[in-house]
Amino acid sequence: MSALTWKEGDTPIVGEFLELRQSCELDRLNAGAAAKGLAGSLHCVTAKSGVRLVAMGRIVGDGGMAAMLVDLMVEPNMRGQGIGREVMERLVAWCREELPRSCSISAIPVPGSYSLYKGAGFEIRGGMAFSLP
Amino acid sequence: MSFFNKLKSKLFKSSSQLEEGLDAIVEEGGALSEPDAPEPPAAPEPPKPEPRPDPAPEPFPAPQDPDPTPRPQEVPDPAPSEVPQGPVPVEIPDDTPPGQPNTGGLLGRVFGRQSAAPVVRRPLDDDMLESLEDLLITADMGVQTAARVTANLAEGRYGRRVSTQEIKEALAEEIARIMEPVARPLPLYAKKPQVVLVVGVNGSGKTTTIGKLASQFNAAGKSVVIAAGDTFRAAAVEQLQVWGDRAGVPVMTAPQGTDPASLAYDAHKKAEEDGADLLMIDTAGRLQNRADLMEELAKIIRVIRKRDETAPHNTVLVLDATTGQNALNQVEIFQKIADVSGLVMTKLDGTARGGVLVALADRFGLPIHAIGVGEQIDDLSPFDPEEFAAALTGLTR
Ligand SMILES: Nc1nc2c(ncn2[C@@H]2O[C@H](COP(=O)(O)OP(=O)(O)OP(=O)(O)O)[C@@H](O)[C@H]2O)c(=O)[nH]1
Ligand SMILES: [Mg+2]
Repeated sequence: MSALTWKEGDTPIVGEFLELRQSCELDRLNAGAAAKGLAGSLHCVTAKSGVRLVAMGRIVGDGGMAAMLVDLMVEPNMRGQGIGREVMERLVAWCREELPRSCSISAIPVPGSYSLYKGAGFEIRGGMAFSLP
Repeated sequence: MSFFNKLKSKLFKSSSQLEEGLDAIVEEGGALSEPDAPEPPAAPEPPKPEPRPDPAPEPFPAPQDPDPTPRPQEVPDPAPSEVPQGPVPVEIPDDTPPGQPNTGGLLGRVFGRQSAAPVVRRPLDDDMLESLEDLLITADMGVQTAARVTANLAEGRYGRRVSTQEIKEALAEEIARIMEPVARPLPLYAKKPQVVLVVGVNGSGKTTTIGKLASQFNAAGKSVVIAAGDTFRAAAVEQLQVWGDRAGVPVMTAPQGTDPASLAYDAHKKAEEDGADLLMIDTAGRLQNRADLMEELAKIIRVIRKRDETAPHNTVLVLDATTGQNALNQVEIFQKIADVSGLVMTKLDGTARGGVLVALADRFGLPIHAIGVGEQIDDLSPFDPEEFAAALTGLTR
């Protein structure tokens, strides 16, 4: 397997993003919504194997008081190699570097990935969320 | 090898995503245009993935020929499970004579375009336009450009029943129309030396592109001097020297940490003394948010103008085509500090979605001087709008 190419700052191409979501068995998204969402990222980390997007994560938010770590994804057959951890580390490092000290970073990890988030400094707090139908 | 073949095999290697998407959209709501075609007795599964009859790898459907015999094509099998709850599973009876290879099912037939063969058509309605727009967005054309292209596509076609081939042709035409005005090689002037400043974020392919361009100009009988203006990294100077050697072009260097503006000044002096036709100035990859590096670029321009107030004659922004929509931001940022006069798009061999070029052309209208299609010195091609549009949409020509 060739080494991964890491990139910071550039969001992936909408189609790549949707394909990665699909391979991670996440809900289908409208392409326009995805394009708008990606364009609104504060920061984005991507990993490619050759030309294929295999992992990514984003930071969204107001850039001052509140930010959220979202879309942390690793293609299923690339899991277990620490790629997700590296995405996480790069995102958190960016937050420490670029966001004001008091900024709160939240995330809603999928069950089973809590330890990854705890390892990066997240702790469990109460919260709520819903998605528009 | 013709340019188009090269483009086909290098650009959009993994087959154009647009192409697959277009096939799916038309099939989804489509029906055979021959209503009296006999209902298929559940077409038999094709006998395994047959070996391709053509030994040469041919990622795209082979160009069509007037020969009405169905040609074997490499196209995805429209397995019924892949047609998402379409009204009728669209299939045609398999009347392939026994012993002859199955031609790849429905799409093979459609592409084979036998004069009498049934073709799937679907009315160009709001649903289809919406799917098309989404498809263009996934190909990285951007929301605005996708909307505009879709609207233009609908004009005069709305409500008509269209086939995949027709949609591809129309889309390719529309894309070529947008791209036509920007397909312009690097303009050459009588001014000696003509100063070409090459800028872009780090890793976009500036140094490689300078090597490739220098080699092409050199081969065309132009004398070129390269200034290794990336004095930020020692390795950058060496890299440029290697490319300069390959291109047979002298490279002006300065020790690491030297003010790149003074190197540019000296290089201009040398180029003028040597009577060189072109001076190409490489610059350090600068992150847009690094104000100091941006200031450094502005200084290079100020200083070079002390020697020639009309310089730089071209400011070429090198963009990595795999970057996606951020390429648009990069243009905006570099336009603010440098008078960007044209673009080179690199790494088109590394993406199946060159849609960002359409977005760039639509939004900025900056000339695309050349496209990078690989890491070797001759992997730089002129930008041909029609071939690009055909490759992007998967249109066979
Ligand atoms: N596949 C492919 N790779 C390319 C192309 N152009 C450049 N590259 C590769 O991209 C990488 C970066 O290229 P450089 O020319 O060093 O980029 P640069 O903009 O000078 O980078 P910095 O000097 O670090 O800012 C190298 O590995 C090149 O081989 C292209 O058209 N296709
Ligand atoms: Mg360089």
